[in-house]
Amino acid sequence: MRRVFARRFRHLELLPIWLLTPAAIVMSVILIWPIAQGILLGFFNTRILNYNAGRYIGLANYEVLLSDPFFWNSLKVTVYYGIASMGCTYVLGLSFALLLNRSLPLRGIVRTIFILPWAVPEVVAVLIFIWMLDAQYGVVNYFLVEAGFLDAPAAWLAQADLAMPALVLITSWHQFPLALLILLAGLQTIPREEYEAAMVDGAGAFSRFIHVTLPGLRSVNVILILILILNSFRRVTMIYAMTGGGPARATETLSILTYNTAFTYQKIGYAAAIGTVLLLILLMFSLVYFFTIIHVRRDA
Amino acid sequence: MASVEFMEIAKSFGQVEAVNDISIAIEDGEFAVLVGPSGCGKSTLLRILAGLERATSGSIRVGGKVVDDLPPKDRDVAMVFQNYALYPQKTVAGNMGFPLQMRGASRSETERKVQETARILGLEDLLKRYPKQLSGGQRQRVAMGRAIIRNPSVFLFDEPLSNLDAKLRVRMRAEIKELQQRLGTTTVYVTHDQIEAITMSDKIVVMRSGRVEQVGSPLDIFDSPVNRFVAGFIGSPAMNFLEGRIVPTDDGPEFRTGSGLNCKLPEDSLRHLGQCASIGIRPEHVDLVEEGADDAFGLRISVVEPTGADTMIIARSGDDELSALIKGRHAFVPGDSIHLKPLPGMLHFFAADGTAVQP
Repeated sequence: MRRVFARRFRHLELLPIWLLTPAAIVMSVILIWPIAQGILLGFFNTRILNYNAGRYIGLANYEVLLSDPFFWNSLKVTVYYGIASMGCTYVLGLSFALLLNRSLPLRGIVRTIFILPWAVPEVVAVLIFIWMLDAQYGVVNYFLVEAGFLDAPAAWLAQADLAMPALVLITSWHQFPLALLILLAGLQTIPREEYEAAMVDGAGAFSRFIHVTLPGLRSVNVILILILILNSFRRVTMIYAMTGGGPARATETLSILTYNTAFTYQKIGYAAAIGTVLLLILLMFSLVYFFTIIHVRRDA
Repeated sequence: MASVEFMEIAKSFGQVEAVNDISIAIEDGEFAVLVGPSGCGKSTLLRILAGLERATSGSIRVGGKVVDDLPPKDRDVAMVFQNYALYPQKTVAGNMGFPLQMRGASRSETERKVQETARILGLEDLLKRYPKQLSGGQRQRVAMGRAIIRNPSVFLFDEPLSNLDAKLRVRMRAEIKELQQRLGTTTVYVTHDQIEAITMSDKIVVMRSGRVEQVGSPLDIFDSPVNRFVAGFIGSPAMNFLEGRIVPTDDGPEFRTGSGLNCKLPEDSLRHLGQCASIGIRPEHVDLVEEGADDAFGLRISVVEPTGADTMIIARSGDDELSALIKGRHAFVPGDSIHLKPLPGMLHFFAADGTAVQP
């Protein structure tokens, strides 16, 4: 009897491993294998037109990279874009989450409307914005000139100092529904009594926001901010469709630099080295994310 | 400190009337308990007083001043919530100091008052902890600390003990009462537990379906309930009710139930009791007597519950059921017959509509 139990128990213990095996095999083939290939490629001087002629050159790609002003520019652009788009997305998301957390008439419909931008494909969103920001026909310039903010229409996407703000704008417009949903879920976990206790204790609306709402969102905030930054570091489609990294590399994030180096300049070995650096940065953020989630779960 | 007056307060949520035409006066320094079954409107009334709800009509005065249009923070009331509503990201000291911080007290003053309040409540060693690191009783004390620290005119308690286990509840009951006596602050306390109401209050307000049934001192309400609802709600174990009528006999008036139980009443009571449709007998007002004694009910025991000091029994005869708390220990066996006699002068009489009839 005991032996039967033992056998069954051992069987049960192994069951999760058996169930995970197919997924693990698929993941290795489509994820780990290419990543390993990519990292390996970083040690070769491979060019895309003559792929097989690549020679092993050790850390030469990384040496070049450290003194490459375009790489350092991209790193700066990536950090700027990451933080600025995260900040704008968060503020937009929180504002609308606070609005939707109140009892509004037609709340369901309003909520659906606010989530719509997220459903628009990135390329479509970019095309719409390119038209809106157009120097000659764009509606944005029209209103800004009419209202007296601008003397003449601005070439938003062609000016080095305007392209990034424009990119941040469209990114936040497209991404804020994600922040809205996560923050709204967070807001709804804060007990009403905490607000009532604060009201009786003498806190006004602003104090309640500072002392009840923000602390109540703390665990959600950490995760949301990490997700937003990670997403912006990885983003290719939107930036590529909008500016391709220009003008004058003003919006060339590390992802775009990797893409351009590989497919425009055809230096795929060097691009792999840049990609590996980006991978390390993302890995660092992912580890922070991972440990934060564990910490938050333990807190709960 | 201040008196509290509810004047013709009514509140509806859409079609639902939560409280209806309530007028209560609570004296300065009094411990008033609003008690009633779930949904009777007692919590709504408290929330209106706190300023968390707005009355549909009527007015509230605190310390003689109308507060209807004041926000909660300007009413000089402090509230303890059922689930404590502590700020989870603040320490015990942070939680207790918060009301002072919001009123612009200096850091040193806040710290001094927090220490002082912590000493009163025995929380000195817990000041650096977070609410999730505290037991239910400790959280309760922190919530009380947050209320008393700014010395408000009125304390409001919304079922503060209902999340605690039975033993802790008894202890906290005494602690709250002691604290209130020491501070002398007017207190409005909401509970559905009639034992809390009787043991803690100077004044009980019994509510049902949004209306006040009776207001009075605990013993007043216990001894002279105005209707069957109050009689059955206040007192534990609950009062027995026997349906029946009073008939005149040669030996004087007699109460008879449908299933044949009867008991003699004082000679002169018949005149007032003509409309009596039921009598109420508290379980502790029943004596165990020998078989054949005058005016005893003959019943059959169905349940025996020894409590250690006393013995509680439930006995039946036909449709009539009587619970009795008999002093001391007895070896009763379910199925045995028993003879019980109500103590003279301890009977309550009720008319068909439930209102009390005075003998």
